[in-house]
Amino acid sequence: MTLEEWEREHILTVLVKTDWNLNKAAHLLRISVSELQQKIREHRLEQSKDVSNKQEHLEG
Amino acid sequence: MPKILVIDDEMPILKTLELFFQKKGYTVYTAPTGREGFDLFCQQKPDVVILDIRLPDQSGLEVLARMQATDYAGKVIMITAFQDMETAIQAMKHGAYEYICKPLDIEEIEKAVEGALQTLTIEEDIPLLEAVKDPQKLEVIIGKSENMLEIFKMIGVLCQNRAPVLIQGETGTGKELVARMIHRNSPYSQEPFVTLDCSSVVETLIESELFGHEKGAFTGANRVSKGRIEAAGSGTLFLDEIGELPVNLQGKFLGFLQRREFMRVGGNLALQARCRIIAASNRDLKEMAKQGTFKEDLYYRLKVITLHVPPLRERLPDIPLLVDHFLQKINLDLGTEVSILQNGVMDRLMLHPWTGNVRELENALVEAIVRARGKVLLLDDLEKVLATDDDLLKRGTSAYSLEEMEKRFIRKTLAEVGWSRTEAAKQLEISLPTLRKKILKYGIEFPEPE
Repeated sequence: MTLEEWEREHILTVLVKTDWNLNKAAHLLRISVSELQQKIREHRLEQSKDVSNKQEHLEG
Repeated sequence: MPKILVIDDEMPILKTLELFFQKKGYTVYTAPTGREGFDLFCQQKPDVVILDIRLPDQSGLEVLARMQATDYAGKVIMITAFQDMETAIQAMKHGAYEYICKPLDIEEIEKAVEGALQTLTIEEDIPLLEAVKDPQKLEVIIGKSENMLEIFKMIGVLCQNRAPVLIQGETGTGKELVARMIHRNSPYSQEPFVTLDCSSVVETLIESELFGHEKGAFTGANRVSKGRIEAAGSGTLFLDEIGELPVNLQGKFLGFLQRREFMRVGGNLALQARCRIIAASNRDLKEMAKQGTFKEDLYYRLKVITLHVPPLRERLPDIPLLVDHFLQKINLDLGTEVSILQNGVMDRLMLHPWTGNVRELENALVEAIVRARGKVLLLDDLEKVLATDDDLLKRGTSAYSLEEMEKRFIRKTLAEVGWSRTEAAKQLEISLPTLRKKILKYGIEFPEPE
């Protein structure tokens, strides 16, 4: 695994664990919230927000 | 008699759960649609709701959101046929208490229901701690045990003068906090409080960090730089881990303490220092002096006034106070509202050895609070935290700290390629200089060549 892949995975794990609460996640990662936001942009991390879509998907 | 509401369109599930919980002595209501379920919720105010995410008329997540919007605080357990993390996250985010996947395991549901009820009772019974708005207030030393009272007394005496102080205590006992308290209660509290951790600076740089350097003193010294002594002005210079000060610098430092004069590196002008020196170490300096790793004269100069900060295990009565204090502080930091301890949590905290002292306690609480849902810190969550890498908790890093984990990942990769930097850089897809920098920064040690 490359360092970048590793970082992406690690940050995503923490985000999922904290339900994308950036305060909590940044605290666990021991970085600032703005650094975390920067990294989320860099790694193009996204939280799937659209509940209704998800639902269709689940039921379909 | 606790009330349970089950909302599911599958009749067999509805019937099974109804019978099961009735036998256990609960009052059970059932509904096959979201609309009927929500009406029953409003009428009956059940303690626990078991809610299928897939309903014929609307999504269970919508029903959940509507329930959360009422001011009634029942706990909701979500059920779905799909093991899908995103949905789980959505459900938890909307305030669900728990999330369970089909095929249903009746014991798992029972356990979740019991947990929900417990959380509910705890939330009702115990008055909430008053939330603290002012973070400044939280930087205080907590304790009423006898050995801490002794420390408070000493702080009261020491803040009246400017004599050097040595603070000894295990790692994580709060030596820096004691130093800050001395500074803050002194007449020069408005002056700077400057710290230098002697263990965190590379040996070759520590002299210039401390004394500063003149332009051209060494390669890369492009301008005059003031050291920490100058930066501290008439305030306090706190030297942490003084035991790590390189031996060749210990002599210079002693000279500085005696004459209160110093020169910048590469300079020839003697400057006058006005700051107070407070030094701290978790190592036994007396022992080090005996073994010759710490200059004896310097030890005798420093030890005139020594404070011993006790380890946490010698101040057990302080643990409840500390927990109270840290909960407020962490809630403020994280925007959480965890203010209640489940039965058994405090007992467990009193039993833990806390070799990493107050810092380990604080870090354990942070990790447990991140796991908590709602207002209650559960024993289960705490056990999980205490069972994980307590080495990290002791050193003050989180088990998820980006730097710490990156260091481990790089070390692991290096080991896998037989400690070849070139190979590791290739695999990590970073340049060799970047890898070298990281190895230096993290202090990754290579195995001795055979």
